[in-house]
Amino acid sequence: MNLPKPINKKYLSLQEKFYNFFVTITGISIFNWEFLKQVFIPPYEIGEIKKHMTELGVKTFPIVSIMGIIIGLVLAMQSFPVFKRFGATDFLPGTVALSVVRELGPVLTALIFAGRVSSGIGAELGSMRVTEQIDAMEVAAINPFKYLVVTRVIATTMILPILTIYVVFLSILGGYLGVIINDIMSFEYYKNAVLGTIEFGDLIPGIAKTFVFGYIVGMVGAFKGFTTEGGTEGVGKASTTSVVMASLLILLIDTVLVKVTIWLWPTV
Amino acid sequence: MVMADGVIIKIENLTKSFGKNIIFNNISLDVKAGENLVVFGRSGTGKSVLLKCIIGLMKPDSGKIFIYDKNITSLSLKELNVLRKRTGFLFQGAALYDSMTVRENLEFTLRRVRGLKDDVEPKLIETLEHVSLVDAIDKMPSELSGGMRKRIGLARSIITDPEIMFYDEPTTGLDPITSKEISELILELQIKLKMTSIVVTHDLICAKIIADRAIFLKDSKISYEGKIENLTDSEDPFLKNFFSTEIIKSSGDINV
Repeated sequence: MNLPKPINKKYLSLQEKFYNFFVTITGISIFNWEFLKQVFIPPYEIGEIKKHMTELGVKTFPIVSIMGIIIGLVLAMQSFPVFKRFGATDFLPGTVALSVVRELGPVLTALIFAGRVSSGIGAELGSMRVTEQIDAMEVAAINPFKYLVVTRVIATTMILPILTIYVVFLSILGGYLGVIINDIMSFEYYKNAVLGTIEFGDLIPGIAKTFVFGYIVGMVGAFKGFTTEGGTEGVGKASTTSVVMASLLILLIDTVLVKVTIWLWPTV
Repeated sequence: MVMADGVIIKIENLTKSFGKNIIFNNISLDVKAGENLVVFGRSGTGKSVLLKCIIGLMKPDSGKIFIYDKNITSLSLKELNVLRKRTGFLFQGAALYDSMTVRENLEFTLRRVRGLKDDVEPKLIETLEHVSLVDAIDKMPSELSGGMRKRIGLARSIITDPEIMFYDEPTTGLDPITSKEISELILELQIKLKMTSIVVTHDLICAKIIADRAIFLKDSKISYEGKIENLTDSEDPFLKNFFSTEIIKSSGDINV
């Protein structure tokens, strides 16, 4: 796999920045193509994928748990006075649930996941690159792309939907806390209101797009790490640019996916 | 298959540059089976680049590199990997996989390269005995000293029984005693396992211990080639300067 090399110096002219931008776009496209070529070829490295899924899940579990509860709690607390003004507090559980299921849950979990995981993959592979560990695999006839990149990208793609479902569940519980801080409402009533509002069609697009976000997180981190240059400074750069690039891509692609979702499921 | 005159590695008119910086300009070189070739040169003259071109980690601009009778510059990755399985490479910083223990480093390489499924423990112990570090088997690379890392790196390279070994500055950053021990170990392994080696080094003591022949890279060319004694005893002002500084530095007679 021959990737184009960006201009690597401290101060870049506008022209050079443009050049590097297109080099990155080309590089990540080639990287994606390589992934698609290798993902279906054995060995499938199932053990390695499982290991990464466990590690990534455990790593992000505490932070997404806190975030999940807070999203629902804050959303309910913020919305309550407005709903009360219009005498529509009965609609609050359904509104919280819909917001969390369709948009806030998937996007915020993906952004937190990008911050925690994309940077981690970027730094890990980056330090393996600068300390010649990736070269060591290559000269031992071990495919480093398959072993390091493909396994991580599959793991992030698979684990993010699971984390999102967990976050959505916690957010809805957090929403109940936000409601009962302000008003009296039985959990049974809240639960029925939520279940009565959410339809299966609401769940599908929200969860489906997290597969895309998970892929972006893994792919960007792996690309930045795998192509690291310039010693420890390069590792730091790979780590930070992974987060920025993954977060931006998540937001941009989410915009497109919202439009696609409305087009595919017009009644949703 | 070994080529004519017992040549195992043949480089023909190799040219490599990075931008405007020409590293090699049309160099040619033969290495015979069982030979220990030492590559000298000042920093930045492309010694490590030469090794990386031979093993296919870098593509030369032009020229041919034959290992056995295969031109590696025109091989597919699959074919190149078949050749790579017959070689070993010791990196300057040892390049141990730092998320794995010593055992896992060795086992991972052995299983992947040789495709072994059965118990490999006896082979691991035997290889670690070669480098006198059986006790370190369950240690993480971060728990090892520089010398130990080099030894484990060496163990990982030889565990697959390579026929050709490449050493990139095997003694750099080590104290003189450890560096001498590593050099003697390389020689011992070469004799015991009948390997062909290319060793990139600045360390004259290391070179004197292991070299059958030495080359000197200068001005993008192989400027000198021959027995190590011929290089060190040369009246050429450049070589005299290069080697005398090394000897004075090594013996610590004066501060350079």
